[in-house]
Amino acid sequence: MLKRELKINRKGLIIWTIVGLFLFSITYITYFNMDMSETSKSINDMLAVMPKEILKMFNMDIVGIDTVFGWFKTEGYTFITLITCLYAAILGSNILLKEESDKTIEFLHSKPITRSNIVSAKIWCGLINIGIMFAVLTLFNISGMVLSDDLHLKLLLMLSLAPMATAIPLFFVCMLISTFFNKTSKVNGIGIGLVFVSYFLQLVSAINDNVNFLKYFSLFTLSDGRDIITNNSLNFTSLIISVIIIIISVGGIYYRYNRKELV
Amino acid sequence: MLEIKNLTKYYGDIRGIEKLNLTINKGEIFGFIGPNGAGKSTTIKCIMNQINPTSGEIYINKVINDKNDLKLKKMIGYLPDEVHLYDDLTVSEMLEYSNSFYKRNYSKRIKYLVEKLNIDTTKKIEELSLGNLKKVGIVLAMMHEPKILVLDEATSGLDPLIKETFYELLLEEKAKGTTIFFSSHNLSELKRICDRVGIVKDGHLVAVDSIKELTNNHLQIITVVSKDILKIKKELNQDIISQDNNELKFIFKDDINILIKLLCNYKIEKVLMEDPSIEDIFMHYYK
Repeated sequence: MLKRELKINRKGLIIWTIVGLFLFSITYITYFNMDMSETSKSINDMLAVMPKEILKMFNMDIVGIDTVFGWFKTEGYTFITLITCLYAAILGSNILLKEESDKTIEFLHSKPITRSNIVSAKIWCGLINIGIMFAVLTLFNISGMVLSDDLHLKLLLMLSLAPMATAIPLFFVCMLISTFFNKTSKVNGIGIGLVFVSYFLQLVSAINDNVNFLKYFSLFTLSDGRDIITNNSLNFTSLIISVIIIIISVGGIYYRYNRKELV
Repeated sequence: MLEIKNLTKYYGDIRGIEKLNLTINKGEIFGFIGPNGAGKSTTIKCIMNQINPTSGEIYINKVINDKNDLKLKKMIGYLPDEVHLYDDLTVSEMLEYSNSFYKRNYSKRIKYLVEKLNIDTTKKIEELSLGNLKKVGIVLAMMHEPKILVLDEATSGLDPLIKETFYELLLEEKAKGTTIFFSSHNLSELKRICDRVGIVKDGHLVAVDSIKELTNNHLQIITVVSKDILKIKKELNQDIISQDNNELKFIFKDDINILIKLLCNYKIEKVLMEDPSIEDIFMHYYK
């Protein structure tokens, strides 16, 4: 069943990964063709007039974007987080529920497999696909940095893989939410909404210390790039919270799905 | 073989079925009939463990029908009313995928069923007509030689020739000892292939008997032609089938002598007494 799941979800994985690769390619090509001595000055002039809060939102108060790795640490990191989280949310919303929405569950459920077997195959497929997406984007970014002669491998690996701490819990949370519904359309909206609300809360929390608490309501805080850039290490508290969210969600998915009415 | 005990299912406040009791024997073809919303699909979904009964139990071979009991699942073949399969697969891939869930290889059996039902296995599922999709559904339900077949409106969408082949297949299965739970709207096919029939109405099983017994339970279809038909109708307390000018057709379920005495009081032009058909019986239970 896992083989079949991987086949069904291959198309989505390829499309989302190509979108990611395409956007990173544009950035690398742009930086390759820039005259950095002149561009650096104009970028710095531009940043100097921008409000500090806006710079802080994109980590530009601690990192310059006059190099390709500088760009990667700011906008590139946000981009990886957004694209992988959107993919994980949509995958989590659909992977289990699609069988019910398409009514193919009547076939699948009549075969000699338990509901837990179905959930396990879907979970493994989701994790493999998210893993492949991260692996491809990471390898591509390593290649891009090597070609740009701007490779800082340890930090690049941390920044490339840290968004998994948000993407994987998001996948499971969306999968858990989907067990409360019978049609994918509503859950897709909830999943995408969760990504953008999380992203927005994290951005807003960076602007003003008074609303800093909002970051605790955002899944994006689990893979906060600022921590990695300033400390040059992963935030283990965030990783532990990610693992706890995953464990609770996985337990919830198996519990809910084994009791769900497959109508 | 299949035993349903006090099965009740409520969807919130809405009744699906209530205290349904039924025992279907090994090698029996049991017809399950009732109008839309009577509880047929709810019963089938409970047997297939797709929904959770509010109360009551289902036993297969005296073992409670647990959704995690894979031995029991292997024993059941299921054909839903509407067959939904994976559009991206060809028929042959779909059958292989289904086969992959079993340890035993059923390719010979699949080949036999595919040839018997004349299925083009090279076509994609999304290209199949409703009838052809149903044929693939039949193969999927029967390919693993199940001990129990649960069929929901199995023949809807099938052409008459394939229907005949399907009945043959069912009789072959019956001869092997397979128990068949056959939900249908088609009274003539129930009459043709079922050993017993259960009639479900408003979530309750209102009658279970062989076709022969159901049609021989002292009910009579009476047609009376008389100018006094309105007065006769008033005195009768029976299920009226139809009324046209001076002609009244009704189901009579009491002692026939009572009717004869009553009719003696009026000027009668014509009286016709017939044994009821399965359609008449069905209508009797549904009025």
